[in-house]
Amino acid sequence: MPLSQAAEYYLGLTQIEGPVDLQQSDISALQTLLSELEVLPAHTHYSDHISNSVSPEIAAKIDGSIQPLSTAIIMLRNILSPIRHIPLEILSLIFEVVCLTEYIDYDPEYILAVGGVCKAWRNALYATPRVWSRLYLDICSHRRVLLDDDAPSVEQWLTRSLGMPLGIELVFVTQDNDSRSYLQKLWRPMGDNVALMYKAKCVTYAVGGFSQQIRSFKITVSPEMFHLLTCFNELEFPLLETISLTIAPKLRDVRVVEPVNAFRPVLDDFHAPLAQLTSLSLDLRKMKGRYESPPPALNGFVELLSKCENLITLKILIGRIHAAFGSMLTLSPPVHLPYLRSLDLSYHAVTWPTSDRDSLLKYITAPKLEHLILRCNVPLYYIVDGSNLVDFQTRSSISLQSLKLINFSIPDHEELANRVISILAACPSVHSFEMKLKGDVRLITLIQAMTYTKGQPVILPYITHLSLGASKSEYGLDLECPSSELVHMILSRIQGAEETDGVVVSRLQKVVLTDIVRTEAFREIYNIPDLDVHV
Amino acid sequence: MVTLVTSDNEKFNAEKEVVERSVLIKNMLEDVGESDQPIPLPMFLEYCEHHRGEPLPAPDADTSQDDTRKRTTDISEWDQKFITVDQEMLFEIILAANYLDIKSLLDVGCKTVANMIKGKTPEEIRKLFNIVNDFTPRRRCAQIKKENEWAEDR
Repeated sequence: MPLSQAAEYYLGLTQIEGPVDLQQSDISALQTLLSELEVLPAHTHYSDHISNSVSPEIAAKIDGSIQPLSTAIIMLRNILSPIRHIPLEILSLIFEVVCLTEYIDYDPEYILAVGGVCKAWRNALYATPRVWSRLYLDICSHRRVLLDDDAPSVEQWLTRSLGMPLGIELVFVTQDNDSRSYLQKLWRPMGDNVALMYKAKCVTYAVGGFSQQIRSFKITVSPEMFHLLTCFNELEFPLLETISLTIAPKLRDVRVVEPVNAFRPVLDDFHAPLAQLTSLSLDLRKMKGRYESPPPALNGFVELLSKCENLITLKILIGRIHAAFGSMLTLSPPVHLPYLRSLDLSYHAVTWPTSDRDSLLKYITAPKLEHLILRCNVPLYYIVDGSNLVDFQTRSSISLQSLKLINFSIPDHEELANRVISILAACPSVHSFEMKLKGDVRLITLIQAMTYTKGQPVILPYITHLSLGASKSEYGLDLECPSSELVHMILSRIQGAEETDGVVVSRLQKVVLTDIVRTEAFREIYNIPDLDVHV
Repeated sequence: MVTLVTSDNEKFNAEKEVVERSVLIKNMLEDVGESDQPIPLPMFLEYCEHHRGEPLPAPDADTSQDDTRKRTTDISEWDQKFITVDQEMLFEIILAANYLDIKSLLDVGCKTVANMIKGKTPEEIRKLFNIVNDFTPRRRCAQIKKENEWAEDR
C-alpha cells in the first residue's frame, strides 16, 4: 500500500521536532511495513521491500542514508511509537507529573533525563514552564553541574519558567564527611571550599534575581555559608508565602526587611532556629494595613517572640498591627525574655481595626533590659499609652540605662507631659534620655518636673545625657518651651548634683537640644566646664 | 439509556449518568453532535461505570493548580489494574480521555506514563518507548556529559 505524503515526510526526517501527526491509515500502513521488515533475515537491504510503498525519491534517500535493516526498523518504530503521537499539551502534563511530584522524589535529574531523550521531548519540555518553576539544588549532590560552565545555569533554568511563581530549595551543606573530603580533593588548587563558596554565591545571586517570582523558599545552609543569605538583602519578595531556614546551628542574628504582604505566612513558616537567636530585627514598615489587606496581628509577634527566649537585641518596626485575636487574650503570663538588653519598638500602637489601643510592651517581660526605644510615627490620634511602659517596668523591674521616646504626640499637650512624666518616674535608673516630640507640644510641665530642687526627689536622678527635640509636622509648630525654664532645669542638674539625705542626683554631661530657638538665656550653659551642649 | 455506536458499527448501551462522566459526551448529548474520533469504548465505559457517582472535578481545576505545588503519582489499586495495558492501548486511553474530556482518566494515564519514565536515564526511556536519539552528534556528546554530571557521585 503506498504511503501518504505525511508518512513519507516523517520517514525522511533526521530529526523530529514535535509530535508525529499521522492518520490511522498511515499508521496501519507503516505497521504493515514494519511487520514485513521484522521478519526478514538480518543484513537484508530493505529498500527492495519498500520500493512499492514509497516514492522512488524517498526510497533513494532512505536507501542512501540508512542501509542496515535494523536501522530501518528502528526508524519505523520511532515514528510509530505511541508516545510520539500524543499532542504537546498531554506530553507537557506527563512531564509535569514526572518533574513535579513529591519533594522526596523530586530531583532535577528527572528534568534533564526527559530533556535528553530526543529533540521533540526537549522542545516539549522547554514549552512546559511549570516544570522550570521549581528548582532544587544541592551543592554537594550537584557539585559537578555547579562547577561546569556548560551546564544549564540557574538563570536559564528559572527563565524557562516564563514568570510563573517559583518554588526554590537550596541545600548548601558540606557537613557530610565523604562529600567534604571529595570537595577538598576536587578543589584543592583553589583552596578548601573556595570554589564551592563561589558557586554557591553565584547560585544565590542568580536566585535573588528572580525574587519577584519566588513563592516558596527553602534554604538549608552550613554555618560557614550562612553569610550567603546577605545576597537577599534589599530584595523584594512580593509573592513569598513560605520561607524555611534549617541547619543553622550558629544562627544568631536575623533581619527580616519588609516582606510586604507576606508577613503572616512568613511568621508561620519561619523555621529558623528561633530559640538560639540573640538578635532579631523585623522591618515591616511597608505593610500599610489597608482594610482589604489586614496588617499582621499582634499575637503573631507575640507567638514569634515566645520562641525567641535568648534574644539580647530586638527591633520591630511596624507599619500598623491590628488588635489581637482570640488567642491573644488568653496569653498569660507575658513572654519572658530573660536576656533582652535592647528593645526598639516602632509603631507599636495597635491601630486597626478596632479602637482598642494596645502595645507589644504589654506582652513582654524583660528584666535585664537596659536600652529601650519607643517610636510612634502615627498621626496625632493614635496614643502611646504610657501605662503600658509603666506596667512593663513594674513587671520586669528593669534597670534601664537609656530611654528614647521618639515622635510621641497626642492632641492634649498637658496629658502628653503627664504621661511622659509617669514613664520617667517609673524608670529612675536611666542615665541617657532622649525625647523627640512631634508637632505642637508644650514641655513646660515636664521641664519643671525634671528641675532639681535641693533635697527634693526628682525624676531621672541619674541622668547624664539629655536630648530634647521636636520634629516639625503638618500638624504643629516647633517645640514650645520657654528657654529660661529649660536653662534653669539644666543648671539645676549641674549645680545641684550631689548626694544629700539619701538623694543622689548625677551631674549632666551632655545636652542636645534640637528645633529650639536660640535665645540669650542659653549663654548661661554654653561655657560650663565638662558640659557638652548642642543647640 | 444511551447507545454509543463505534466507527465499525458496534453498539454499546450505557446509562446516561455513566457516560456523562465524559464532558465531551455530556456536551454531545446536550448539543446532539457527532464525532468519528476513534475511542476504546468498552474500556471507557468500564472506567466510568466504576467511578460513577464520584464528584466531577471543577472545570478550571487544572488551571488553578498552578505553580510550585506538589503533585502525586499515586494511583488507586483499581485504576492501576485498569490501566495495566500495553503501550499502544495506554496511549489510546490517554488520547481518548483527553478527547472525551475525562480529567480523572487522563490523570491516571499521565501518572502511569510518568511512573514509567521516572528514575530512568534518557537511554532507558528511549528503549522503553522505541524513540531514536535524534540529537546531533555534538549535542549528543554534550548531553551525555551533562547527564553524567547530574547523575554521578550521588
